[in-house]
Amino acid sequence: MTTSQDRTCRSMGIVLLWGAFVLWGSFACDLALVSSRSYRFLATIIAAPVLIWPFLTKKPQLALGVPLALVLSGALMLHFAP
Amino acid sequence: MTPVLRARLSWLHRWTALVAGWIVFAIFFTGTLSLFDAELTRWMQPESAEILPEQPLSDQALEHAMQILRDDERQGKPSAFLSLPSARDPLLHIFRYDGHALIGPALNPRDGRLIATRQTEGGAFFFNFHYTLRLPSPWGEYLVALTTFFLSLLILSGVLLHLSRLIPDYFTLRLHAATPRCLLDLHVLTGTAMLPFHIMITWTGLFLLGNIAFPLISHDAAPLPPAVVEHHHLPTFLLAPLVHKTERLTGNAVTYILFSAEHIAIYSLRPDSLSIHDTPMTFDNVTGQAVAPPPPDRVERAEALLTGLHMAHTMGPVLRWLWFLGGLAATVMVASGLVFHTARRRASARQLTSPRLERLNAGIMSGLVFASLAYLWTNRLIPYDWKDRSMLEITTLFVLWGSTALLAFGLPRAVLWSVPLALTALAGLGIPLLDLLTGPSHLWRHSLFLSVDAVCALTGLAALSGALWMRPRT
Repeated sequence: MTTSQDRTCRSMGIVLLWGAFVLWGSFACDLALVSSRSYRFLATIIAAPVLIWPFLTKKPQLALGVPLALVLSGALMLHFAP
Repeated sequence: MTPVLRARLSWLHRWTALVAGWIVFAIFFTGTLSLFDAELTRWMQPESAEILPEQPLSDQALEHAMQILRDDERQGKPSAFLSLPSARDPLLHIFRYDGHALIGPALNPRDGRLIATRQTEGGAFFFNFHYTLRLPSPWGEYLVALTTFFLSLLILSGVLLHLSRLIPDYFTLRLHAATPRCLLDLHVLTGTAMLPFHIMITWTGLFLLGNIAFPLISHDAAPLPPAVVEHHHLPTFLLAPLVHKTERLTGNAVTYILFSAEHIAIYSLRPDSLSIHDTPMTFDNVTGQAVAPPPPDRVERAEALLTGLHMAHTMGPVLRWLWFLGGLAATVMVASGLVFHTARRRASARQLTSPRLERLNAGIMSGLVFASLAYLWTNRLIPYDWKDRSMLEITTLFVLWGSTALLAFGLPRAVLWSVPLALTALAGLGIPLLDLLTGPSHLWRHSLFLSVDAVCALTGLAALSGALWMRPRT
């Protein structure tokens, strides 16, 4: 993998992690597991350390794969939420 | 930290800064100014200087304000609220939101007489620009939320990059070193010295934009009901007894009075506090009976603390000045980081995009400082009764900012920084003279006017030093 591909994967990972925040947060609020205000409070606290993770991990495949899995699982959970 | 990880984080830090740097600079600069928004508005409305702080609000003035509100309601004007005199703003205001700022008449707190102040957005312009960039809603807020994400990544990657040298960086500033080295020292020093402030202000900023930064998707969302124009139903009884009762019960002076269809909400914010804990005393607007609101839960208290920490509305002067220094350090951190990037590229003879970036740096950053000072000049120079004078002030600011950015593209490289910085120095150093000629009589009696003049003159001096420092280096 070239340096440019490596960085593209990691940058995409950041965007996807944000998407995962939105989807999993919406799912949790939809099921009333957490109030929307508490979710935003918690999301704000952990956002920066989580979003930078794709640039800290060694493998670019992991930096893209984990956020992608989180987004897809979040979308599925939200879709099939009762 | 391995060299590979370091290179990755450097790339992230550099490119995030290049994408969002100028917006971050504008947000920090205007945010720093908006810490003193009420004071700037008073400076820009010298007609109000006759009202000195700590004048008590009379029942007659309050009733007069209510009468104006009732007349406005009969004429079908949009809803408004009352802002009561405080240590920072001794006037009684009737405020309406015009889409950008709170505007409305100012009354004398002693007798309710209208004070003929000039039409201006004053310091509220900087406050509004700080979180909307003066773009149409909600696009401005979206862009600011996105920029705040970038900023949080910038700060965290910067901290990780400098973690091993955090303590030595506190004591390193080599002004006589080569330009890139000196700029990097300044960038790291302003970053580390106020690091807790930078983290706090970014985190609380992201929290305030939480609705936009972390939207919620609901698959069974009902369509929004059509907007209903809410009418006030202003109370017909005297408001003063309710205000006195609130002050007696809370032990604090009343700050705002809001009116809804059923209730009157009287807010008394605790002064010299970090938290904007603003649970109001609520009264029925027909009977005047107190209505007990639900007690605030823990999340509400945390929200009030985060809002208070970011906005500094209830802080005392010492903390407010400390926040101002923090904002200034953040602004210098961003500016020195951006200039460092181009200086390093030039030093290492990688000339791909550096000249254009260098010109944009000079035009956008010094242009904003110059245009902000020119905003104060325009306020005093436009005739008092000019039609749409507040819009003219703002237009002038944007035109001058844009012109400085364009000017930077036409200037020879040797004077690229000197010319806009010299203009800024002239504008800043001239403000005290302008205030002396157009400000209130007995200027020396007003510490507020003297403070604004002093800060502008110091900005002018800093710009002059910058122009002289940059001249042999460009």
